[in-house]
Amino acid sequence: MGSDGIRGKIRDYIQDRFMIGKPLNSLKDNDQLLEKGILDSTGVLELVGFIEEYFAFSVEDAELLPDNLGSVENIAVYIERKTGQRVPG
Amino acid sequence: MYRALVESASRAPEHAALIMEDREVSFRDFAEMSGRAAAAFVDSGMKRGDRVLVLLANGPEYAAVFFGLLAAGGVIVPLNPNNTPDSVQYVARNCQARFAVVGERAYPHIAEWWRGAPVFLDGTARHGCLPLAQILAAGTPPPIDAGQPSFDESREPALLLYTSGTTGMPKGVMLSRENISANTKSILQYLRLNPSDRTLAILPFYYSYGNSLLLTHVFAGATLVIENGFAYINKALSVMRDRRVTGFSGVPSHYAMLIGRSAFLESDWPHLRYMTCAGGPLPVAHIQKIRRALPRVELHIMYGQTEGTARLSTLDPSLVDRKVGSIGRGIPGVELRVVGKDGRDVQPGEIGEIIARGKNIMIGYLGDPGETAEILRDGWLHTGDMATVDGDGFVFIRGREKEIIKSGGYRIGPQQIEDVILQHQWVQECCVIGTPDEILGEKILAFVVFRPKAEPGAPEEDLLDFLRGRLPAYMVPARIVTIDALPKTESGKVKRQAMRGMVPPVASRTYDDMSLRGRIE
Repeated sequence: MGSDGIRGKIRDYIQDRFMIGKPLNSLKDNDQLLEKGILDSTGVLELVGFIEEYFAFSVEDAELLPDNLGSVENIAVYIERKTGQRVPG
Repeated sequence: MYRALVESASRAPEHAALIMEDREVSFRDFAEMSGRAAAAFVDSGMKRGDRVLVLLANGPEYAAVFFGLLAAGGVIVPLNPNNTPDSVQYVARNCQARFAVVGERAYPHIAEWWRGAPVFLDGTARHGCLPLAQILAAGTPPPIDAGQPSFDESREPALLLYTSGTTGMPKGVMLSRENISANTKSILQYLRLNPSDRTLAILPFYYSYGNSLLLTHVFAGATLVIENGFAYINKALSVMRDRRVTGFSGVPSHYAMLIGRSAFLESDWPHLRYMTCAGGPLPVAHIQKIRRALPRVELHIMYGQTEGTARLSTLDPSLVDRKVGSIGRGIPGVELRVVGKDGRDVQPGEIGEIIARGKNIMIGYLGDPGETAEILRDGWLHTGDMATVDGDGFVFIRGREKEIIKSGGYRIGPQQIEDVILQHQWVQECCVIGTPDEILGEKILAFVVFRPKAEPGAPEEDLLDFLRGRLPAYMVPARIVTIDALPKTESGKVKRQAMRGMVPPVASRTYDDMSLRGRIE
C-alpha cells in the first residue's frame, strides 16, 4: 500500500459509507468517530466487517475498543499492528 | 410529568439521576436544569402547544430540555441528530416547528433554512443562537407551577414522535401527557424499578423505547447510566461493571452484539437484576443462551409500538422458559387482543391481527385524519402485526401485515427507499423488503427491475452510488437483487409477501453489500 495506504482506504470507506452529503476531506484522522456521530453501534460492526474482509484478519471481540477503532488514526495503527504493515505517517 | 421529576428530586435530592462518563447529575441538579430550561423557553416567547425540534444526543442536556419543555408546555419533537438536512426540514415543515434545540453536530442540518425563533444551541457560541449550556447552568431557577393542569391532558399533544410508515413519509405520532404518564406507570408496575436501580442507557432517547427508559427512571427516582459508545462493546461492558449497573435495555441487535461479539455471557454480573428487550423479536437461541448463562437475571421480553407510546405487552420473566418466543400479554392498563378479519378473537393457533386499547394509545397522526382513522378504530389500535394465541392467552407474533423494516434499531418504511430508487434513470420498478440478519435484526434488500436500455456493466453499482448520495446510511440497501419482473396481484399490487420467498442465495446475480465487501458477486 502506498503513502495514502491504510489511512486512505479507511478514510475513503468511512466517507463513502457514513458521511454521505458531507464535504469531501471533512474527516480528519483524529476525529472521534462515535463522538462526532459518524458511526453508531451497527456502523462500527460494518466497519469491522470491512476491515476483516479487506485486510484479511479477524478482529477479536476483546479488540472492539476505542483505542483500536475510535478514529482513522487509531484504526490505521491497529491494522498496522495486526498485519505488520507500516502505516505511512 | 415535570411534577414527577420534582417529586423525585424532593425525595432524594442528592441521589444520582444521570451518570455519563465521569459526570454525575443529581436529581436536584436535574430538576434545576430543567427549571432553567423551562424559564428560558418561556422568556423566548414559547407558548403552550408550540412545536420544538430537539436534535440532541443522549445526555443530561437532552433530559433537562425534555422536562423543561414539558414544564413550559412546548410540544417536544425529538429527532435523530444524525438525520439528513432534508429529513429534518421535512419534519420541521410537517409539524410547523417554531423552536429548535440543537447540538453542535446537528446545527449545520438546519442552519441554512431555519426561519423560526433563535436556536438554542448546545455547542460553540454562534451569532443569533442562544447558549444552551449557559442557560442550563446559570442562576437560580424560577419556581415552576407544576400543580394541576388547566387543559385537557388527554387530547393535547406533549410529544411528537416521528415514525416511518409503509407508505409515504414519516408520520408524527401525537402523544399526550395522559398517554405518556399511563404507559410509564404501567411499565413501572411490571418492571418493579426502584431508586437503587441503575440502568445502562444505550437506546436513543429520541425513539419511543429510549424515551420510556428516561421517563420510567425519573418516575422511579432511579439512575440512568448513559453510554453512547455501545459500539465499542468492551468499553460499555466496563462501564456496566464499574457503575454496578442493575439493568440493561436493548433491541435485538444489541443482544446480538452482547452474545456474538463480547464475553458478556462468560462474565459474572453480580449486580445485574434485569434485562429488557423490545424493538423486534429476540431470537429464541439468544433467549436460551441468556437464560443458561444468567439464570438469576430477570429477562423481560416486550412488545410495543410508538402509537402505543412505547409498550403494549410483556412476558413475565418467570415464564420466559415455558413460553419461549411469546411476547406475553397486555401490560397493566392495556387490553391486548388478537382478532380475525371479522373482528372476533381468534381461536388458539389461528392467525389474526394484534389490536390494543388503553390510555397509552396515541391521539393520532399529526395532520393525517385518514391514516389515523385507518389505525384507530372504535378505540382500538390496529397494530398490523399478525399473531397467534396459545391456550393460556399468550401471544406469539407470526409476521407483519405492515412491511416496516426494523434494521439496527431503526424503523424504516420500504416505500421511502423505493421512492428514491425509482428516481434512478435505469430503474423500471422495485420492491424493498427486510431479510433476517443476526446483527441488524433485518437487512435491507432491494429487488430491482432495470430498464432494457440500462447501460452494460453493473447498473447495480451505479444505483448504489446514487442511493448513497440521497439516503442516510442506515437506509441504503445492503443488497440489490436484479430480477426480470416483480410478482403482482391482479390489481397490479406487488406481492411483497411472495418476494420474501424469492431472496436468492448470495452467490447469484446480486450486488451484495458492496459497502461491506467492496466487490460485486
